[in-house]
Amino acid sequence: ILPDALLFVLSVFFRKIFILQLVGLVLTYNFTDCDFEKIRKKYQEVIYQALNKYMNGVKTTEFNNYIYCEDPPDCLAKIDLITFYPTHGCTTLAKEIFAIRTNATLTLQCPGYSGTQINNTQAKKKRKKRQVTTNKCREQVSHLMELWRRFSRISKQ
Amino acid sequence: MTDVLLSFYKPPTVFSIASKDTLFVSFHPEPVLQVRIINFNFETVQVTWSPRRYSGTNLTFVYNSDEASRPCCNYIVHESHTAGCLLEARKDEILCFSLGNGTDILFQKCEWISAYLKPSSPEDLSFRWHEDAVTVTCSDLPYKRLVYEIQYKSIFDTEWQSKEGETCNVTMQGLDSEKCYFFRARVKTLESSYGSDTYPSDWSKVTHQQRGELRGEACYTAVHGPAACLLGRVEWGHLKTRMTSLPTSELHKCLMPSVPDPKLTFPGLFELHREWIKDTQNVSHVAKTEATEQECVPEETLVVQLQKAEAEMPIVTTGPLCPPTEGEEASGDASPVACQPPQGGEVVSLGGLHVCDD
Repeated sequence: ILPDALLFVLSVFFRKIFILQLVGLVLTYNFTDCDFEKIRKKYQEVIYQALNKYMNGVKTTEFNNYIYCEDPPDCLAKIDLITFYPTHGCTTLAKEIFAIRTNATLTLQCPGYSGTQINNTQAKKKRKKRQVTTNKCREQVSHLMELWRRFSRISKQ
Repeated sequence: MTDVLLSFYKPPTVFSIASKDTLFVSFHPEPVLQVRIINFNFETVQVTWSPRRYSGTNLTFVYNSDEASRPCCNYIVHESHTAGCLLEARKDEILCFSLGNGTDILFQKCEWISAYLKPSSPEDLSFRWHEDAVTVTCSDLPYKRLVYEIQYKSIFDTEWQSKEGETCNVTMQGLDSEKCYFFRARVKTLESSYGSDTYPSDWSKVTHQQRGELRGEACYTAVHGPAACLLGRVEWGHLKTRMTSLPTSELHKCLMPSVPDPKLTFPGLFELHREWIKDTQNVSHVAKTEATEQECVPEETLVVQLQKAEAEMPIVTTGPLCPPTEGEEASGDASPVACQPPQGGEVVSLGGLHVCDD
């Protein structure tokens, strides 16, 4: 039986490995050539409010925030991954307002970014029958918000 | 500030987190730990806890550093038990830590330390005046997305005025450079970049400025009124404390500002009244009068003694309207109202000022 402290360290370590593997499998676009300053401004002007509205008063500090990004391209890569690729327990983030705005911003400011093709008609219908926000989805959005904050802190002025 | 209330479920590797407002999942609703984190300027991180169920227990703190698990090296102790840990913050990073009681882990969490940032207070404010505007500058902190707040007020204002900027370079307009102003500064974080659980920095030291110069204590001795120097930076409730804490010479200067030479204020006045001045030349010695009046408890009325035009600056003294003489005291004939001038002089009243002319 492993001691609890070791179990804790291993759980953190394995989480990071898992995330990195996902990124390695799915990532095809290099975000190095994006206009980070314009993306940061768009985040502060429109994306941040949409994320906040989604969380509906729930703070990110209520979740375990363990997803780190080193530099602006790394942050955008992980934002893209979590926003547009469904995970177990949360499959509908791509249709949310913050995701639509993220898609538009990255398409505009990252040369060659193909973006996610979201059917706007379906998206509107879905919004009328919006599913109850699950705790798992809030946790995902919490990670997103922390990544966006990190991105905004380190992108050049 | 965020106090995270926790509940836990055994086995300890499975846990849930409940906020003060919203309960997501709880297996044991009774909160057992309250944890608070403060990141001091990305230099030191302080994690404190207040165990309720485990009061009297020494909890152990373990955190990750360079992918390795380390115990706390610098515990904060309260009533002989561990109550917190001080860590060195190396950069903008995620801190994962756990709190345990012997073999059981009671609490585990991973957080960006930026979420609990408290910036350091601004230092060495610089001022650049240009007509009715002043620009306040200081050194920017080495991290971004901050709000620098400058507050200012004159000695006659009760409320602070506020102006903010993204860098420590803030210009305030509509000020009167002749007036004495107080300035202070602090740093806050942008919520979109740090979240809502950060702390504002402490206020900087209050700086006094007048005519583009640092004034210090001299800011209080405004000619607008003797009480202004006492009211300048203290609240009414501290007025008495302020009065008793000032040295006697300062209090004297505070209540009795210097009076400008009337000759300079009213050109030609003395020339026109030359005869009147001649009549008043034979006066009793000033020093004797001063010595008498200084024994009195100061009251609000000022007794101004005019000297000859070509003599010294007017001397201002305070005293009762006139203290009763020994004879008057004995006979009970002391008149606290009427100004009984010294011998050989007469009294002139000027708008509330009783001028005892010796």
